[in-house]
Amino acid sequence: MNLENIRNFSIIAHIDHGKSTLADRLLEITDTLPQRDMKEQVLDRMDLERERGITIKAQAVKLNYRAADGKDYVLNLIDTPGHVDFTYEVSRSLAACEGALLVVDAAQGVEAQTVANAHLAIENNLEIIPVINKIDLPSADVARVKHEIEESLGIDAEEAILVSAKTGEGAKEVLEAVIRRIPPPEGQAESSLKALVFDSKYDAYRGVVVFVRVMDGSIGKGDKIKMMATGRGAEVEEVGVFSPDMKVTGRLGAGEVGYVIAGIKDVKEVKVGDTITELKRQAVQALPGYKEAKPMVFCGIYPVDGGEYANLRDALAKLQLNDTSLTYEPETSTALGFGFRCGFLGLLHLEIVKERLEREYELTLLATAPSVAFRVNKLSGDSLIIRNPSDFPKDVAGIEEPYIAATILAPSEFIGAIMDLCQTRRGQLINVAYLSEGRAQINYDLPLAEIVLDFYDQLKSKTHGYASFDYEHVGYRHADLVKLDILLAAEPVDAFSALVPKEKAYERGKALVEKLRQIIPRQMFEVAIQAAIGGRIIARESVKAKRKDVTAKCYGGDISRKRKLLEKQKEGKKRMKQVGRVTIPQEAFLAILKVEE
Amino acid sequence: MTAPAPGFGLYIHTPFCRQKCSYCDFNSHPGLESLVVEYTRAVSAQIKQVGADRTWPEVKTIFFGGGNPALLGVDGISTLLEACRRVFKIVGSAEISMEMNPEDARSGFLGDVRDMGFNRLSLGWQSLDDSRLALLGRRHDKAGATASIGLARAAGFTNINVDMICGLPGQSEEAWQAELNEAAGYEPDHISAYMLTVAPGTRLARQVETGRVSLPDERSVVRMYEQTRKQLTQESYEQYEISNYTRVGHDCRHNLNYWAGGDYLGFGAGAHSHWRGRRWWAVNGPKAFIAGIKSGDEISGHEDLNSRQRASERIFLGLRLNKGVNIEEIKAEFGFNVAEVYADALAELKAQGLINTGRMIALTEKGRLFANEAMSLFV
Repeated sequence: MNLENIRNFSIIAHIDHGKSTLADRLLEITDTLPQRDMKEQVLDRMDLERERGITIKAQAVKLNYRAADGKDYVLNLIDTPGHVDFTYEVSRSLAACEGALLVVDAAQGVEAQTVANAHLAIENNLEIIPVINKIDLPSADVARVKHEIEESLGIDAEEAILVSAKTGEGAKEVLEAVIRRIPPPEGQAESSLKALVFDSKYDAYRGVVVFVRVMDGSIGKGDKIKMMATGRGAEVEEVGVFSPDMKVTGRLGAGEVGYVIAGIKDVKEVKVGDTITELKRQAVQALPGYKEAKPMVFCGIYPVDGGEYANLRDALAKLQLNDTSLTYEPETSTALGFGFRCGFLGLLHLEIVKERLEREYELTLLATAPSVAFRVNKLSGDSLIIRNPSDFPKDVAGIEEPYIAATILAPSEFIGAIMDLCQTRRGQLINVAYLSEGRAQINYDLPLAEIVLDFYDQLKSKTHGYASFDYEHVGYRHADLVKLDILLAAEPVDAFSALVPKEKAYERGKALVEKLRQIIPRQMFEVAIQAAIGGRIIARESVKAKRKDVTAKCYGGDISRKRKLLEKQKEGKKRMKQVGRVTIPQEAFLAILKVEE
Repeated sequence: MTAPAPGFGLYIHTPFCRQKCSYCDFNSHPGLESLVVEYTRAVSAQIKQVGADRTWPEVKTIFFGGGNPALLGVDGISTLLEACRRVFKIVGSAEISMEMNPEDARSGFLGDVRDMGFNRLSLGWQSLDDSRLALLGRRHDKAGATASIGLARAAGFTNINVDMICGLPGQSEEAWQAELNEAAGYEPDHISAYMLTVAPGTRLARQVETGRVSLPDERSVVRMYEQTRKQLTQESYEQYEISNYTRVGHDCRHNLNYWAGGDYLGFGAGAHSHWRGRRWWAVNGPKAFIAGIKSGDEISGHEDLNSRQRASERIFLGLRLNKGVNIEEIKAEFGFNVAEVYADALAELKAQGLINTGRMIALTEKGRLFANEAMSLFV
């Protein structure tokens, strides 16, 4: 195909600004899917994605379009995950494109993810077409939104396209703008192959399906190829395009987007951001921007029923097939038994993985409070990374913790509340700017550990849901932390240990034992709950002993109900964890997240 | 291995009462006495219908409960008992019980029901303290209660139970001890001594919630429960179930059949029946029941228990009994090896001192206080 007639583009947006709905309209207009196959939001394939209204994995689809100029075009739409946890994936998807549609809700205006995604697009030198969506809403304010786009992103919004993805109004103009304003791909058809891997998925029958954008050269069946970062060689079995299901084609040429199957069984050998080249005529230099996705948030995941350990291990292995950014290693907790310390890109990633494990693999799991990777410098001069607070060594010279640069957008009346929140989370104010009348952008540097707890929930509640939030990692900084331990019936429960700021340790300990007192049910003996720092008890509560649990009457008409009550009682117990002599409900392990100070 | 001789009992429910007691969550309704005649006719029809369904075994026990069966009147009671006799073969030695409130225990009425063939009486004393009886909304006082047993004896009843409740609002341990002592002094053949249950939705529950009445603390109720066993044992009663005490030979055979997982037919509004693993029950409301009998849809639900559920019912019901449950019988009947399947639960409960194990599994004295904990491991 003539490169002049190809356009590769992405849609980027804040969550709920209508990215998937707009994609649906574009698929419809181009007859990419017969009407009867249109499920709402075709591109969000996983049930979880549909339910949460987010995209977890990138998707690509090829649209055939005859434009107003009478010519036929191929438009490759590369959908990107919208969430901050997946920033690296987003940036690689964008690197596969020449342009992006920046969708902004006409009523909500620019939000934190709009800013973050737009910056990624700018870094990748993409042509950005602002699209103002939901203009059918009574509260739409196009002039204000245009102003915000110009103010916060420095993008000319004069020619923004006005759209209602819901009604379809303006959708055709979007396609015309893609053709008119986004440049066609450039590439050397005769050069040696360079194809960018922007995603991959694991197929139980075919092995790894690699999503590629060919930059130079071409790739086809029978070619011997090599992954430049991992060094893995392979022979191409099949290439094709997404329409939107996989469809075999001939060769994929420079500028084209599609998939490659090459008998690779392990997703770890195909890394997002890597470059595929020919084995015989290898490219001298890989495409820029490759880096390993590093997990930033860690937590222990344990089966509630110890007998499910092997199932959990198998399930994690299967999930990792499709999710290379998920890491896990075996871990043993004295309280929780055998489990895994898992690493995630962020909190949402953690939640999604846990939910998929429980839903798709029918496991009942317990996740410990999320933590970050602390860097501990020991007196001996050694330095180590601590992913689990209970591994905290004794001879500590100093601790460093990861920081993030947070971008928060909100109506300006909430500036005070947001600053209060960030301040209590040990934040350092970087900047406050006004985007438009009544809307502010606030930048803070914050310890990652402070946001992996309930920062986002708090932010939402303090701003009545109006604030949006995004962040990027900015490296390690000095931290003044101590290890807070919790003891139940005089036994330390390692899963409750946490590294907390020294000046907050006392308050946190008090709040935590009080919270646990409310959550831990009465047992057949009195349960002492203590908080300790370095062996010194700083707070104590107790759960009084239960004296009886007996039903006085059970006659002929009571038996059926009684059986159901006993079954319920048993079910309730199943969801609890036995720690030493004490039975603890699962929510206790999350209580550490929700403690108000 | 032979299964135990299966019992077979009939239960006849009266859903009427003169006034609702504050703690009552039974299927019992005041102010519907005008329905009594129609209701009796409906229950009578039901007995006939069900009786014709199949050949039933010999009936060993019959129990008239409520509500207040006395509200059916002598005619009503007699009609229903006669219906049972016409339809079922009732063994000569059958235990035929009736629940009765002290205010209904007049000598004429007692003589009538004795003549009909009732041979066991369960008197709803509940307490021997006038202020507590008033608070509970009972219509009798202490004098009425204590008089009723004498009248029943005079009418020829030699198998009499009295119901008592501990843990009542304002009741001290000493007060319970005194009430129980006094009750035993009248030498009933059987005593049901229940710990008060505050059922949600009852007047009592609201009173407790709003703080208008206050209950003795749990620790004190536990001591009352322990005291009951001690005291009644001294008075030569034997505890044979969590809340039931008997003098030799006066165990309630009707109830023993429930706890043995036996078969029974229930007649009347809301009454449950159980026949070889199938359980079904009628609609609760008296009016709905009468209409249901006419239209043939009085049954409001049923369940078919698989052998595992039957085994687990057998266990938790059997655990209510002091003698416990025979796991070899369960294995023989349901092919279900309790010792194997529940090895962990048994070990745990034994370690906690809640059960004794062997051929029989039985709750210990401490185990009875945590009966639900123990039972829940076997469902």
